Amino acid sequence: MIYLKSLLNVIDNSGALVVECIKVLRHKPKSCAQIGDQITVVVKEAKPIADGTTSTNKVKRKDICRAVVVRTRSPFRRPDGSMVKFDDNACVLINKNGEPLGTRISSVVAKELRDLQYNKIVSLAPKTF
Amino acid sequence: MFGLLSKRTGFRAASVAVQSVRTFVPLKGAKPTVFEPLPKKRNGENAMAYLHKQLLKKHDPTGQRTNLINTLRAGDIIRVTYMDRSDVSGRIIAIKRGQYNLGGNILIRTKVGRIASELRIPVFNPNIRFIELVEKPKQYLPRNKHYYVRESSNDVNDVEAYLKNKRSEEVKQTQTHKTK
Amino acid sequence: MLSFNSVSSRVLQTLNSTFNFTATRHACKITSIHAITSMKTQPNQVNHSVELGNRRKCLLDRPGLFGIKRGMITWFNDNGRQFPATVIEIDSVEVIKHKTEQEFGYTSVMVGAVDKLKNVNNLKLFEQAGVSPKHKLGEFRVRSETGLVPVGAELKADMFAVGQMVDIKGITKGKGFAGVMKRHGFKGLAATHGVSKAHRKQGATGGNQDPGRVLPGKKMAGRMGGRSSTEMNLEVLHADGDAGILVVKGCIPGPNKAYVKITDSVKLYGKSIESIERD
Repeated sequence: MIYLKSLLNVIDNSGALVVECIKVLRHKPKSCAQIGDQITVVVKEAKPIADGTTSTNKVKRKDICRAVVVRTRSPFRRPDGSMVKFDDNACVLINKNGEPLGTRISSVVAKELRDLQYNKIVSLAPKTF
Repeated sequence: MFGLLSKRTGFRAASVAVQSVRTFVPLKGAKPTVFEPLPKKRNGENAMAYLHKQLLKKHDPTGQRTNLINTLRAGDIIRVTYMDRSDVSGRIIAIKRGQYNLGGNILIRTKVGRIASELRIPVFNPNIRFIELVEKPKQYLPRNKHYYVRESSNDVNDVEAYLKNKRSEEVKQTQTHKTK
Repeated sequence: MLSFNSVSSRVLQTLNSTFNFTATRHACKITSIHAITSMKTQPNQVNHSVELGNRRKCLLDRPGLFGIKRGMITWFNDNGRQFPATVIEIDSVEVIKHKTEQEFGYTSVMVGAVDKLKNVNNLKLFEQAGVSPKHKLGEFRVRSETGLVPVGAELKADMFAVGQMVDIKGITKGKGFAGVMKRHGFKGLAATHGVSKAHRKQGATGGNQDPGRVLPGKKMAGRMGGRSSTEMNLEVLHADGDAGILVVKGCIPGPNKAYVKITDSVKLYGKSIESIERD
């Protein structure tokens, strides 16, 4: 249930911490994004850049970029009848080809991403659930 | 006026005539034969109950899962192993038991690296190899459904890590016993 | 050349039958009708007759079943996928009578379901068929007389194969007099901004002096539900003839314990006589 104005945690090391959804992509009839859907986001909070150090941040505050939803608070159904629910909404920033901007993913992602050809994200994630 | 009267009398006369004939002819013919109904299916058992019994026999031939879903309680820790050998463990938050049990499912909660995740597992799904009870708590929390533990002080921890620690401790203890 | 005035009409007719000729009167020149080759017109075909309608109607080649909706269950297939499914009980469904085209103008099979022995009428009908009196009576139209199942035969749930598609017709749950928001999904009026006692109303229903009336078909509040509805193309998951149980994927109209009419899917297996002849 990610739609306009939803806030999501970013779980990669691209530099963004919290982003806001401004568009759900390729979802005309239903406006909500589910796990594995692409969204356009604006970075609301980013890692601060310390003076004198070269930052590894790929994005900064107010940047607009693309992301893929990897966890949702609203429960979703698997074909075997089980329902999965996480305690937060989270996403990973990606480029237009679907590859992640960051090089590391810090926490668990949903299993569904593997079937949706986000193999890179799944392999970077420490665990799938 | 006269015309009406004559019509009426004429009608009456005719009806009288019919009645007089009827008195001589038996009105009712032979009674129709009523055939026996077909034998009752399922020996008269309720269709839903019968089907559920059949399906439970198919999906749960030993009756183990029916027993499990009836005896488990919110607060227990279980591990579910799937047919592809992958497994999930977590603490039970709620159990839904249907009237006939086939739609029964268990809601487990665990933390995977500080992120709490919940999974509702249909108990009779043929994809599940087995479900085992791993641990019962010393003291149960109140209520049948533990939805209130979410993001509270009673929230579940990383169940998998907890079980791993517990196992390694047990191994250590047995080793120390052996050395003694 | 002959002057038009000088020749009587009878003479003209006889002349016309033998050869074409043109009569000239001063400047006016008239061509005889018989000089033009005419075409015969076909009589108008009346398409909305009963017979032609029957030929066009998309029909199945065998009758279906009457069942009783018993409720919904969880269904697992062998791959471990889960579906919601509906259980339908098929209780002593027997063929009572045939209706033929010569007698009634159409071909159909009269079928009864659920035996009952109290408060029965129409006993002659059941006596002729040689079956017990039934609680539910109904007809299934079939395409031709080859689809007439013999009278007195029992129709079982396993006449439908597992995996095939069926249509299920039932009467939906009555919702009583419902407002526009529930009945037609209107959005209602605003919750605030001075809206008074009209939060679930429809608002305007039409124009002003022009057209000066509410147009026919305007969606308004009224009786909702309790109407016949057909659920198309439901997959059969399980069919047990001896136990009289049919399980279909998904939900079907009506409450539990209600009668439903189950037929082969018209969209997949239905054909009209006209289309068969064309092929």
